[in-house]
Amino acid sequence: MQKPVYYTPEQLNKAIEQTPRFKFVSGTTPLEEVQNLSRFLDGPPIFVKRDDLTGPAFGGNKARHFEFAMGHVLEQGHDVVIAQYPPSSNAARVMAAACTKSGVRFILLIKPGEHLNPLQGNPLIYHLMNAEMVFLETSDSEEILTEIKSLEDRLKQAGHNPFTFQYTPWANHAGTLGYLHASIEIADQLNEKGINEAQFYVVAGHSHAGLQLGGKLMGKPWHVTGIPVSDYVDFTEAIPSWTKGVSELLHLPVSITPEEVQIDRKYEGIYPVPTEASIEAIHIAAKTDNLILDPVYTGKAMAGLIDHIKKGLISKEVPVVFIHTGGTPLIFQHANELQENLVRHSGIDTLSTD
Amino acid sequence: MTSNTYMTQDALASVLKKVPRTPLAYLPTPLEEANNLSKALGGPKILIKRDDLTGQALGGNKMRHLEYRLADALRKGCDTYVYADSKNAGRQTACACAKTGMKCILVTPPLQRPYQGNMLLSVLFGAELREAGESKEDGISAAEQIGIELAAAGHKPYVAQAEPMFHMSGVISYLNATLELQKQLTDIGITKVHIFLVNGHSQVGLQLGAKILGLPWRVTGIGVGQDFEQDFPLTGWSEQVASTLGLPTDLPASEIETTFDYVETYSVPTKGSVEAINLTASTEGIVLDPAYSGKSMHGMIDYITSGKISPDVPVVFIHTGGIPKLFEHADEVVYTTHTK
Repeated sequence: MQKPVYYTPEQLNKAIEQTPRFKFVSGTTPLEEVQNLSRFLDGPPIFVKRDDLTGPAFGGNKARHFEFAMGHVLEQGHDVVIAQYPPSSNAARVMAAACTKSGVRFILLIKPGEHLNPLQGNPLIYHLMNAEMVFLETSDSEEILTEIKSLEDRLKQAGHNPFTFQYTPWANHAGTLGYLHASIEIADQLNEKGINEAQFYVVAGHSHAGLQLGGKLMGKPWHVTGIPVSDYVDFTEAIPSWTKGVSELLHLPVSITPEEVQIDRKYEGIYPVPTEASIEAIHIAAKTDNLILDPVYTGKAMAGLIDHIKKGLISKEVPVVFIHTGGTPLIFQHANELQENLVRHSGIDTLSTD
Repeated sequence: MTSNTYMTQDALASVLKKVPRTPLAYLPTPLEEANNLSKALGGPKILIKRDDLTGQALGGNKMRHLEYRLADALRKGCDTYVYADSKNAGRQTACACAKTGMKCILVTPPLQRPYQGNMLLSVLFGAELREAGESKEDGISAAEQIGIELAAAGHKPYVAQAEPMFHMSGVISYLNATLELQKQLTDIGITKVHIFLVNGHSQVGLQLGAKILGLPWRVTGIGVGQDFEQDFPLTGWSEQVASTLGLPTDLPASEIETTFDYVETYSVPTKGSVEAINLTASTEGIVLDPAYSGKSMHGMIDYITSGKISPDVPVVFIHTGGIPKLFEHADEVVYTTHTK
């Protein structure tokens, strides 16, 4: 069935250019065919969009998101960004890098949770990038909001112009715009390989929303499956709402409807705890095509893809595009779990000291 | 002053094309302006060549080298790659072997458990790790012994450090990188530069490449260990590559510039390297490691702040990667910043 084409890639690009963007991603990321993995799974051709290579501070999909968040921050003349994240968040790492690069102060509010001592993985990077870390004592969103308001007031009194990321529409616009923009790059790369129809797998979230919206606008036969990694968000509601937000911002002709959202929640486990399937997926991806995934996000998405292929839930003829959304430092935080798995499955013991 | 031009870019490129190569790295790597760092140092324009983004397994300069090492092993019909190293080079080797389907044995000194950083990734890539003695010589002789045993059991081992291509690959791949960098500099209208990088094969490749093409580049290698303190290995490698490829010239010792002022102890973070990591991270959002790229950045920063170099000549820092090392040294890196 022919899908309606609302925009050519050039027109879509022009629409996106209405909103400011702080260029932060190091060029086009590779779209790499992983034949060993495909052979190992006896599955369709698999391509990996290497957004772990977006460049700044270990890359990841958030670098694309924050190009638009920082574009807005700089346009509005803000000099301080406030954001709250769970401990060891990838997003906070890339936000720290974006603020560093654009010369904006970054106050990072960290929700209660397990803290690493000594600092390792992502928190080590926040520290290096001069993020001002504030450890919250509560997870209650009302209480956090009160704390943020008082922080904003103090900053304003001191003559600053703060921007609180999560309490603006930009918390949703940025990521959706980032992957609406990325969808043009991906369409272009698929074109070069002579591929039109594709099955996408990605961690459910804003990247999923932007990608699916881009595919719809350009009339691409793309099937996007989002794999949630937590039960925090109902994506069948959220994705339509986020795409509607961006659609209004850029005056686009369509957004994504709830019926169009494809989500599989079987792999989410509990956030941010690695699942056995995510650890297994990391080992498979590393051994076959030396991809480094993490156990909390991309490992779970890959576990979903592997399971879908094994169960024959997807076509063997239509190429798969797996979006590698980054998160590499997490692998160093979860060194133990990964090695426990190694002992169990291969008998190689890298844990015991004797 | 105009330098001699021994070869055109095309001529050099066509000589290099004759050397078997297995594509592994994502090239070209970006060349980025580091304006914030330049401002913080009150220094010249600074460009960072992002060879930490060669793509596979957290990247690094060794991925360029390995394109030639793996091609050599494959060409010789080998099935097992044996290599004595437990650091960045070992990790990138494990990765390259996984990609090409060759079995990888890394010979390491006794390792702490659980593994972290480079060796954690290496086992994920399916490398087999065998522990030998502490010293580099112990590792290399154990690797040779493993090679003998494998051959006796009917395998076809490639004992990397015993192969002539081991050193040549580093130089040849950075002759290629010279062409890549020269093109990127031309695109932004820059001819004359001062390059800083960790001393070793990559340094020789860039210096030799610049000489052959007659480019006004000054290359300063920052020593990070005692291995290459003698002139011999570096001049020897350039001579070996020049004679093997039939290049019109090589490098006498007087044309290789290396400083060992920033080493202290091999693989051990220094105060200067930790400060350099913090400054680069907090100005550019770029991550370095404390054992290699942190030390070369320390050297570059010191050259700039102590006025040893002209503020008018742009500086190119080659980010040779090595990021997993950062996680191996997490406590030292943080400890020092808390106490600075």
